Amino acid sequence: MSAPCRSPVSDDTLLDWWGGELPPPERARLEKHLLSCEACSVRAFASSRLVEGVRDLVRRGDLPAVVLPSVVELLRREGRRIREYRVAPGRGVQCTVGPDDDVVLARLSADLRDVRRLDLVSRVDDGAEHRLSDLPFDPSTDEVILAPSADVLRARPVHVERMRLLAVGPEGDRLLGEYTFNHSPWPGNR
Amino acid sequence: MEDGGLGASSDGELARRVAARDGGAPEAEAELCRRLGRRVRLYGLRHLRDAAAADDLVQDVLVLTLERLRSGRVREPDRLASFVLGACRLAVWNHRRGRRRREALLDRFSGVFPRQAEPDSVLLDRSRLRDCLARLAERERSVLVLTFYAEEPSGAIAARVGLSPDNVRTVRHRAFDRLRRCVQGSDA
Repeated sequence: MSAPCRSPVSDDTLLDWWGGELPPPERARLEKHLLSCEACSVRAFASSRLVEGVRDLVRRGDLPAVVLPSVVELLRREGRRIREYRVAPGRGVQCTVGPDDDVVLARLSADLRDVRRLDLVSRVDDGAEHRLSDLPFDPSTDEVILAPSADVLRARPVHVERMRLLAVGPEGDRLLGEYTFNHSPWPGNR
Repeated sequence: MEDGGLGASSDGELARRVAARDGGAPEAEAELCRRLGRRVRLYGLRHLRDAAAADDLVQDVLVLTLERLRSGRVREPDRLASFVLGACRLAVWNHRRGRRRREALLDRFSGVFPRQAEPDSVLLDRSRLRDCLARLAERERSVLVLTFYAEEPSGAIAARVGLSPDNVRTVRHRAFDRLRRCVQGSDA
């Protein structure tokens, strides 16, 4: 059991530290404290497990998420093997996941000008529709990048996934594009 | 594990025992390494973004610290944290310089090198963490990824996802808290 800290660091400050939000003098004070205080360093270490876990999932392509170009660029710089499919509205693509692929990206082209809220509706074969609401997107780009779990996709049989990007506004949904992914397992995995 | 009363000693007391090189020095060194190891690793994870590199940092800093303590070259053992912080900064700077060199080589020989080895240890139950992340809204998940993986400040994230910087911080704090509670099982 470590001795209690007389001036414990708040959770908010720790998160700001992980987020790189502390100005240099405050950061230096905090880091010196963490290097000398067992109780606070134990708490900070617990949060580091979550931070590391998130990084690990992203690097392994195991965190199904909408990703932004800066994340893709960093994955590339780290030497991750990325398989990507760019699809224009109304088009489809034959796709697969190789045994060495770390990350798979579906890059959906769309005109995002004047879009306030973006939703994605997807359906696999004749299954139920699944709607993701309020996707983050960079309005200065003309695409939405999805990173499905590479491991999950790799294990899947032949299937067709259809996606629709919708601009959502007060007047209702406006279709931005429909995209079709014809997935086949990697030849050796069939 | 704390034994022999060393667990109650301050870092400064342990440092002085190491410097004195008396009969209790080995135990004091072991206790000091136990304490500092985790703290230095934390610093490494924050600044190097890589578990293996953080482990290397721990070794480099502990070796330097013990070597300086043994030779009596830490002037103020009671302010050991200042010395360790300086050692951490220097080691991180050296590591980054080496990494830039490695990245330049990687660019030149891209596709030739074998893929980067996966870390040996996964610190959390990965599927549990993934499930908990899946419960967050897309925007919350993106903010966490941009913060912890891409290490973008809230101002840059705000510009990318159409929020204000204050909103980004609010979303980040809320999402992190939900994630922590979910992983701990209190929000399952």
